[in-house]
Formats: sequence, C-alpha cells, structure tokens
Amino acid sequence: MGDRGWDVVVVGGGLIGSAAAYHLAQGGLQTLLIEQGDLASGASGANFGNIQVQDSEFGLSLELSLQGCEICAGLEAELEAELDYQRNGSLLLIESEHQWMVMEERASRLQAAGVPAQLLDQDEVCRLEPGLSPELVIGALYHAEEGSLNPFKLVHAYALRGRQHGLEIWTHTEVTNVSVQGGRVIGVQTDRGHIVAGWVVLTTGAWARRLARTAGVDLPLRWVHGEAFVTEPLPPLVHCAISSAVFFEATEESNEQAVGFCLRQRSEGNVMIGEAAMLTEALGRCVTATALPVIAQEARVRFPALLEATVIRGWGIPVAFVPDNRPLLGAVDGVEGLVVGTGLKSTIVLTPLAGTTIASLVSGGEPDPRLAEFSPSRGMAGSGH
Amino acid sequence: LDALFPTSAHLVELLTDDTVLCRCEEITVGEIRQAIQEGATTVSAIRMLTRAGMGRCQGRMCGGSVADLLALDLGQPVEAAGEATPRPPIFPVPLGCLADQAF
Repeated sequence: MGDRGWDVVVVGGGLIGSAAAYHLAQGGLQTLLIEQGDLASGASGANFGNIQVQDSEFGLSLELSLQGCEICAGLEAELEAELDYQRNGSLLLIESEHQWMVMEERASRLQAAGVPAQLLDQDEVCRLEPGLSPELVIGALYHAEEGSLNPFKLVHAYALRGRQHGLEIWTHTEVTNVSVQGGRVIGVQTDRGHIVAGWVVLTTGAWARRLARTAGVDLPLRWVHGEAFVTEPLPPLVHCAISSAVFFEATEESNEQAVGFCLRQRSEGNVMIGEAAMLTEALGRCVTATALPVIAQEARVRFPALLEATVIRGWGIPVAFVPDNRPLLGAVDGVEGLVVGTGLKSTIVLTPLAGTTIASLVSGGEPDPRLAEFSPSRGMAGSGH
Repeated sequence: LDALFPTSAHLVELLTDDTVLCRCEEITVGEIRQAIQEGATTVSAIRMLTRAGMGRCQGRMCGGSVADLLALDLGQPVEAAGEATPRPPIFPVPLGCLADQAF
C-alpha cells in the first residue's frame, strides 16, 4: 500500500470485525483488518455460539434479531463454509415466581412480535430435557427454532472469503492509537508503524473504549469479566441451549461475582457451562479462583449427571455491554471517518447485519434512520463516562 | 518432558496427511495443513480452526508437534508458533470436585 493508504482499517478480528471486513472488501474497498492476537481470540472466541432471539431487547434489537436469525440460517451457503449450524432450540429456565411473571409478559410481547416463543410448565420442560433436575425449575420460555453455530468457524470463514476479495489481515499486531487530524481520522498507530486510512472501524469489544479515547471520544461502554468452562465430550445430555431467566432480573452494579447459568452441549459432545460475571475496569483474561467452583455448583444442582463429568478448560474474558442494553453501532459524531461496532447483547445473531451496516456506512450508503438509537454518540442517562 | 524426550527432527519427514497429530480430538496432519493454507500461523489459531489441542490434554501432548509442523510448512522458527494458551484447570477435574470448592 502506498502513501494513499487504505480505504479502511478495521481494528479487531472478532465476529463483528471479520464480518465488516468481509463486506467492505466484497464492496471493492481496500481493507486492512488488524487483530492484536489471533482471529477470534477475544470475547468472540469465548462466545457460546447461540443465535438468540427470545432474550432480545424489545424494539429495533428484536426486529433486527429476527432478520439476523434468517440470515444466520443461510450463512453456510453464503460463505460456502461449514459452520456447525444447527437449530436445537433454546430454553430460558424460570426458577422463581418473579421470573415467571417477567417471562410471562415477555412471552406475550414476543408472540405479538411474531416470535414463536412459548411458556412451558415444569413437566413440559423436564420432558424436553430429561437430564434437568426438577429441583429448581418451575418453567421455561422455549423457542424451538433458535440455533447455534461455531464462532471460530464463522470468523475464519469471513476472513477466508474476505481474502478472496483482496482483504488484508494482520494478526498479532497492536493498534495503540487512532490518529485524528482536523476532526477526521487519518489512520492508526500500530506496533508496525503508522497506517494511513480514510476510515477506521473499531470492533474491539471492551477494548474499544480505550482506543476511542485516543481519538478523544468517550464511549458509554462497560464490561464484565465473564468466565466459563467446558467439559470433555459426554454422551447426549442436553438438547437445547439453556440459560437462566435470572439474566432478566435487574442487574445490580457491584464488584461481586454474579452467576447467571448458561449451558450448551456442542455437537462434539463437550458441554460448555457459564458464566460468572464481575463488573470491572480491568481488561484481563484470567480465570479467578472463585469462578469455576460457583459455576460448577450451579451446573451440578441443575444437571446432576454432570457431577462426574471432567472439566478440561476454563476461560475468562471481558464482555462488553452498554448500560441501555443497545449496541454501539455506527459513525461517531465529531470525528469524521470513525465507526464503532461493539457492545451487542447477543452478538452472533446480529453479526451479519452489523457487518453489512458498517460496510454500507463506509461506502456512503444512505443510513437506516432507525439505527440512530444505536449511535455510539447517543446521550445516555447515567452512563457515567 | 519436552526437554527430556524431544521429538526427533527427522520424524517430521515420516508425516503423511493421514497421520493423527492430536490424539484427543483425532485431528490429522492433513486437517492441520488445510488450516495452515487458510492462514493459521500459530498453535492457538490451529486449535480454534481444527480443534487440535482442544481435547483432554489441552495441547500438552500435540502442541509441540503442531508448532513443528507450522515451522516446517511456513519456514518460520518454531517459537513463532507460540504455545496453546494455558487454561485452568491444570489437570482435568471432575465437576463435582470443583463444585465442592465453592464457598
């Protein structure tokens, strides 16, 4: 690349970054994707792979998730890649009267929006998942059509197909600064020197806040340190992607470890179980001494057959979120050429749309006015940053 | 162990595409070479793409061989492949034992 530089540099080789880079390169733009580690080595590599709809925020997020769900079903054909796509269904376990009330209301609102989610009683849940102990569960919100795919394979498929359109990818390269001159981005500073670019797209999850600050932008982004583990391959034990409705109860701000139960059995038989989450300002990848035991305890009480299962790997990673539960997706006001895509609540289902949205924005397409509510520069009560 | 029992360099010449390199997940040299062709340059990238090193031993057995294969195919020093990121637990642990550690 000469002095003219790149049309666009995408920083962060996870789900959103690889999707954006693929669509940008496909649209004919000279695109460079920079990743500090290996592709999918941040929060995208810790993702359970669920294509979630029924836990979506109502409004635009749900509307786009429904659309995203259909797009995900066609991704293997679109990218000509094996992505382990399956439709296993999902269950949000209800374990208290309060959760039942919340889920009852959610079920009727989802149905009104055309989502085939249904409320199951305890008998129905236990018939569907015979491995589940009836001890805690009193019901569940069930979506039979929700699916899953392999996040590693998706990121690599985007990278591979992107390269066929001229996408350049630099892994193990750190971006230290976004360079801004006269209110417009001119490139990024990396440990391989300065890179000139007309557009800079930040898709670095929790790391986006630090990078945006180098461009003088304060993103309303927070993150939890999320931890989970996986067992060795087991005989079929669980059909659906399982999570606990406790995720919908008010999230309290505290520095204590909170455990929201989620579990999925991969097609290879390994059971992924999470997650312990702690609100933090640290960007670490450690596994804490307390997390794995509390997750194991949550798993044992719900799936007693897991008692003898062998845990082979645990991991921890910062998982970004936005206090108003909407993603940061779009152009940043005041810094021309700077685009952000992070903080998606259910990342996989919105990945393809985030990719095409970013590509269209950079290519000068007419932005969808509805996306204003995802603007990285939107005002937010109580964001505190 | 690696220091005491290094893999002989010439063993690499005996590799064929159907040699099983990761025994836990039964991943062959051919599958790993496919991943290298698709852009993987490190042990971690190979792990994510092929599952080699994702099994019970977590790459403790096959990690060195994967690094050797990367060095051979890419003409890079063995160290450039890095190591599979170590993740706890150090040894596979029954879930029940972990749960007993909770307060």
